[in-house]
Amino acid sequence: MTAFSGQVSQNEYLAPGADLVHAVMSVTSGSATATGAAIGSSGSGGRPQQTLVEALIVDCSGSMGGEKIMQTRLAVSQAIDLLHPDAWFCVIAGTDTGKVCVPLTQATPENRLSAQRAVRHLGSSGPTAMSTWLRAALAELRKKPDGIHHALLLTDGKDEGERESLLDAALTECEGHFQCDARGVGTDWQPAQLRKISARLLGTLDIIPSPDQIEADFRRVIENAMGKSVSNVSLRLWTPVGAKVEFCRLVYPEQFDLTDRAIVDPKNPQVRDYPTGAWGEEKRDYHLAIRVTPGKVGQRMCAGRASLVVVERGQETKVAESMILAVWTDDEAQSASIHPAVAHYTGQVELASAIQQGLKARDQGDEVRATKLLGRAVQIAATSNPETMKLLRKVVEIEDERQGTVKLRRDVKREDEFALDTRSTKTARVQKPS
Amino acid sequence: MICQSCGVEQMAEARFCEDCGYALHASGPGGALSGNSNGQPSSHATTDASTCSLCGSGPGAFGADGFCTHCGHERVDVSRNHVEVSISPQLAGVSDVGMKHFPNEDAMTLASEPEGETLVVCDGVSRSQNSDLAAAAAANAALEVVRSAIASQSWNHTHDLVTAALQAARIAVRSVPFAQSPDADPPEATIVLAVRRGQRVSLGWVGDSRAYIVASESAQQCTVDHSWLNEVVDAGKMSLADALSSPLAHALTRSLGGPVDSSDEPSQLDFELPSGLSYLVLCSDGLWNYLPDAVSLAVLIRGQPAEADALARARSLVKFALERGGHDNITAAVLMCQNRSENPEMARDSNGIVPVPG
Repeated sequence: MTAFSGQVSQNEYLAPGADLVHAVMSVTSGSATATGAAIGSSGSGGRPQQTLVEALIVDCSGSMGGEKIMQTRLAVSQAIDLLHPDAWFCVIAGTDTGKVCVPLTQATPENRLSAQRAVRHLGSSGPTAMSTWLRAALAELRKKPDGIHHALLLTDGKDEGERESLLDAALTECEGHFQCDARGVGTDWQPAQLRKISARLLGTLDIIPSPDQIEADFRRVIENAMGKSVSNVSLRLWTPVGAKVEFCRLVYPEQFDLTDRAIVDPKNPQVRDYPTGAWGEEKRDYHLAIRVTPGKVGQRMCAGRASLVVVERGQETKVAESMILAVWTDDEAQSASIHPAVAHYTGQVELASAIQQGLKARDQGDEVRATKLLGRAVQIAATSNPETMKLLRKVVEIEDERQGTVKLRRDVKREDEFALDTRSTKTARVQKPS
Repeated sequence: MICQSCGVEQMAEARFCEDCGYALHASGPGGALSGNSNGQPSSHATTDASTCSLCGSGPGAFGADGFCTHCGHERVDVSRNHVEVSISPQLAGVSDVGMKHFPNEDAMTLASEPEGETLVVCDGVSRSQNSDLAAAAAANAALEVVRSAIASQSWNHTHDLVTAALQAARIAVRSVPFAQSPDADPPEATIVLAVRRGQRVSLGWVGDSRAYIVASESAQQCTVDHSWLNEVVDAGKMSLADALSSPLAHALTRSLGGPVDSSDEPSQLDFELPSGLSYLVLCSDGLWNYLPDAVSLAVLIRGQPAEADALARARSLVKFALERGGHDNITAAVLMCQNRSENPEMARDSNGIVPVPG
């Protein structure tokens, strides 16, 4: 059983004529408590939580030869061992086609053993066409419509065996059917390309610097996937007629801009559903910005209602509804302050953008721009994100973190740069004012 | 579309004027907000409480928390943004939300019977919950008592009638629903009430809503505010100048529905109308805050053309306050009285009013 609770942080006071309402909705999910609303099981007796349906998608192209493919076989084999016997899984060997190495099967002891035998024969030859891998995984996962559908995609190179539009089309097909965590081993792959896959499929992105770390990373990914207990969760946002959702972003623990992902029922255009994937025991923060028609001083308006919606066997359940309020006031002291959570996450989004743009400028040889952007990143991270600060230190020499003056390092390891890029969207939680 | 009431351009699909609350496609009850000239007691017209007055959605537009499911705005009664009631050329009132203080927490009720007129002005106390409802409840309850007493001919003394009406208003305010909250007090309102029968006027009030009488050669404030200022000055604790400079100066010491430890004891005054033409004016503090004294009110009300009716005079008072900033809700009710008897000019007692014994 999973219980959700939601809380809105905002400064609801707006100056006369102001029309943009910001709010951070914090959602906590965990075991059902007396106060929380439970999802995922009937109260009495209960049925087990939703089972994991996993696709292990591994790059078997020519570049994977040697230690990479050996470590990959071990890691896949171990990942299969980690699966709960109720779970289902398949293995896709990716080249210019998505070859089904292990068709979808339940993780019984016998099935595991035979799957692990098959995995030992994963080879390494041919080009890379990731759209075919995703399509093959989708076909396998669809054999078991109930459950939490998840994929882990490992590659070491670029998706260069096909046109980009093919990958886009495959992602459109897969969207909403499974989540996908993407991993790049080594430094010959493209963070932007893998980020496209992980972002569209609501997954995480990370670098595995060397092949001997694949096994440990797979373990973390599978354990995390098994921790999910409920899938098909949407963030539902109701807004008044005439309002416009400027953005809806997941801002913790990762950044995802969900603004364009809204599903709108044409019959009820005031309601937008944003996909959030599967949930385990976790905390997430969403930053919402809604543009409304301003009211008069003294007026109070419900600028939005945010809730989580879980669909189970066609049954829709709405939980953790919180109201986003707007109150117009001529008291500047009230309207001028920005809520700390809103300010923090606005900074975290700028931080990620400064890092990604800064690294891109560096790659293109525009050192002035790179220095400026990475300096700004340092300035933000110094007070708000210690983990990102550590990664930044490996790429720039910091002269003054408060001023954001930095020098680009000349001896940057490629993997450090990739780590900074892929983890730039990992945010720190807003610190409670002391 | 141009609003017929205030002349401001409105969206074509709007059902109510955003600026004054006038029903733009008036139909059915609640449509007409001004000019009830058929002698019926006209209070502020009300729209269906489950219809959103800002976007016109409904009925059933509001969620359980009182926010419109269509436009998101909290339920407000814009029908009270600007209310004009004209009972006769002699009796009318205007209530306006003002420029700064939303919503309009003032309320007024007026009635004219063959025997005489009744005027009620109430002002909801802002920091209390549902104060607009409290003011409306008090004004309606007080008027109802007077009307039903007249219908049943069960009262001889207007003084007693006013006492009973004030009591009904107090009960009505206490009956307004509210939530137990540390942030807001229970519903609370002031009241001033006048009943005229022949040459006699009976006044009653609680709080700082006022009554003035303007005669041909004199003008007087009839009521004495139940305010901190008056209490400390009367008790000799402080000079008027010192008390005026205190931030507490205008704090209410009595109100209907106030906190348990405060008083809701009414004050009453009965007097004879001065001879000739006189104006009885009831108003909320949104008006009198801009009037240094009764003479300035007299200048305003007499400054109208001779043929101006009570509505025109009430409008001019409200307009005066709006032009000076309209910081609070403004309500003015005007009764024009003609005393043709040979009554003396106003007697020069301390109030400038001819009191009627017992």
